[in-house]
Amino acid sequence: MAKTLSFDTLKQGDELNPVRKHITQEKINQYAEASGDFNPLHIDPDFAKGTFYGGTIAHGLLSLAYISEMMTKAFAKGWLAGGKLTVSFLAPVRPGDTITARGLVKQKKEEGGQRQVVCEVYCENQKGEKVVSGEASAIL
Amino acid sequence: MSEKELVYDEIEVGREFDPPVLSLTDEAVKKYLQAVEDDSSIYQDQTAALDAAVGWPVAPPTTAAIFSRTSVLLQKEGKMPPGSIHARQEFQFVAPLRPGDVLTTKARVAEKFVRKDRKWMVIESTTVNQRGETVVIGRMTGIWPK
Repeated sequence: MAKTLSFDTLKQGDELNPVRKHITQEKINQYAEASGDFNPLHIDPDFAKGTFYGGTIAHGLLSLAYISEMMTKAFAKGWLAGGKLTVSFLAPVRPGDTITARGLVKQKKEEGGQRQVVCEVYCENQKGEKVVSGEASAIL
Repeated sequence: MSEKELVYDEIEVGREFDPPVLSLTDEAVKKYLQAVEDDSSIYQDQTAALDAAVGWPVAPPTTAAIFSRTSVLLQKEGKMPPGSIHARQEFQFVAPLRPGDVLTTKARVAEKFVRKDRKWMVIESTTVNQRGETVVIGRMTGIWPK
């Protein structure tokens, strides 16, 4: 694994290594099996066709897993024990989309002996549209 | 589990959901890693995990996160109606998860409100391991379908 990032060398605006995934209905179904979330909006095309979305969409937590992978690779322990995440799901992710999770260092804080890095995080689709957006932090 | 649907009007603020107890088995972790295509070396390689000081073995923090949602889906007295929409999510990852952990997630309805004719619900959750240590804290905001 590439070395995790160092608090001292990080600066505002630094970009984390992005994580890119291609979404298929099969992968959505696989996530449903792994997570136990069989909401038909994700896995039943006939049900989903009759909803506002007009078709199946991926679980929100699937995109969130991509952000978590990005943060794990950047910060390892600082993410697994001390990580925080707040995101809004802005737009549906559909079979056929390619999703890229991105992060930018927003702020470094040092309080009470604890060092924290706060990042703007988001997922965008192949059209550059943000589908998930928020903030994530790790303790270094 | 009952086939009755838990509709919005019947769920009160403060309601606590039955806490599911779920085993984070090796198989469950592998299945999850495959499903999300996470190839982070700390989940695959002991040397990488020890070099990163996370201990070995270790599981992705979001595996407990899914259980915070499953805690609402799996209820004896009824199930979540189909078609819910996940709008916002907050997590705190307090301590590393490990294959072999037995996780209990307690969830409660923190808020309910109607906005633009849609029924919103905020559910807060806390996941602890078999030693009673808090591992994940969550707050989920979504649209309840009925």
